[in-house]
Amino acid sequence: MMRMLAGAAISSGVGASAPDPNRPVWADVVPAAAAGSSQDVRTLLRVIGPRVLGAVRRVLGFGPLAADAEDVTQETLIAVLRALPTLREPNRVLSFASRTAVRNALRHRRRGENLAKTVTIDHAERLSEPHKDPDARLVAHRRATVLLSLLDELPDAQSEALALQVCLGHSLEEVAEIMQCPVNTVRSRVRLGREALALKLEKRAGLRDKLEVEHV
Amino acid sequence: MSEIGTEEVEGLFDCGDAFEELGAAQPGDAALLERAIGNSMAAVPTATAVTASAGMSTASWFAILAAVIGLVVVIAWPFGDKGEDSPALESAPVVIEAEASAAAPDRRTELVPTAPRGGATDPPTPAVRDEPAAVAQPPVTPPARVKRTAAQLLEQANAARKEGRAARALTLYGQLFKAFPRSREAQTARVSAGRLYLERGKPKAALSQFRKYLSAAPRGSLAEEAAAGRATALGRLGQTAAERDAWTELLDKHPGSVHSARAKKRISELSSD
Repeated sequence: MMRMLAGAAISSGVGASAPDPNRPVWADVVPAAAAGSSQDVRTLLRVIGPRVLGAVRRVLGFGPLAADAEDVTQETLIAVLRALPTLREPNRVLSFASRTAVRNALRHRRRGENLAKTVTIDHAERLSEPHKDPDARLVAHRRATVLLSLLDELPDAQSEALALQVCLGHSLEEVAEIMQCPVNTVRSRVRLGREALALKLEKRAGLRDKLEVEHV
Repeated sequence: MSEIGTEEVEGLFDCGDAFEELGAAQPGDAALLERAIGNSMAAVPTATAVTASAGMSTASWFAILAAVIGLVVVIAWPFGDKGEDSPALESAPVVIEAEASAAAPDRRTELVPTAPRGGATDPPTPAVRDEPAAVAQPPVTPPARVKRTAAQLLEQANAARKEGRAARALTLYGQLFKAFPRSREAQTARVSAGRLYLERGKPKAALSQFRKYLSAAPRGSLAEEAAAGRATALGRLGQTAAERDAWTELLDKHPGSVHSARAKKRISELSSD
């Protein structure tokens, strides 16, 4: 599964004194960008922009809110720029961008209410494209849609942790680094979030139905 | 937490490649990101930009002066010496891709020299035009009849719809319905075609498409959209009783629908008539 953060960036310790062979080549632009060099800011945003956009799209889901990916990405990049002077280290920039992307996208979903739970024509058309296992794909899309709609109802800390883990594919350790908290805290948030989701599923037969295969 | 809930929530997290699909790069991302980056940088001026606005260095002033001179030269170009050559513009047309989008592969913005005025000594005048690239292409031989799959037909029809070529899209949808009437693609296309017919002021044809979809897939992914389309089409046809029933049915089957506010409003209006 594609990682939002490069493993190298995650594993490189903050403040390490020895040269890190895994340090990303673009890391050098971060201090200059933080100092206000327009050219370096643009270079940095071109590196993190695709990652932010991907993260935003994963959380916005398949519904009509997907069309707002550009706005949410821009909102996230603005937040990164504002925080840049305090971030300095490349892996902190990536962590901050990742968390802010997820947080902004979750907030956008909540503002969108019903829109986040509907299926668009474009999505249905996408499902109709050739695929080796169209039924499995349909089920996967439905599960992703239901999961995202349930995340909207969880407390922020739980939904963020789950979105980072499930939607973006991060490990607990990576989520802890991104959320700037101990791994056990993340573990607890994920567990509480899963329990809350189970309760919600139990109470709503309609959502359970959506997890099953329905042919268009 | 019940056992059933545990099983289902585990199933819920098994989303296959759905999130990879969502996060995958799409055509047009480069342009999207450049817009987002440009707007972000405009919203948060960098220190360099602030410095520039507060007090620029001599080198910066020279750079601006050079840019202004360059601009004047470009503006004055068409009015300059008629005998001057313009090797850059005499070459093949420069084609600038407006956007690398699979949805609109045949539209380009071209910077092309106009035809020489009064012989070879006239400098060409650059002109920017936005029109189908086919204009600049050599004559195309008539296309051979190619057998297309349902997926190809749907893809082409959708591309035409997104480009605003409604008539072409409807023709392709029609071919899809005729050639592959029971395919998943045809079912999906019913709702798209219905919407296009509504937009083109053909509620009767639209109603037919929405009804066919609802008949074939009453619990399909687009059932909600189709139900709303059916009610709208009935309204445009003046069939008020049927329209009211259609909105009521939509509310019954999709209580959380994004169309519920509109449905309730129409039911209220129709009931008071």
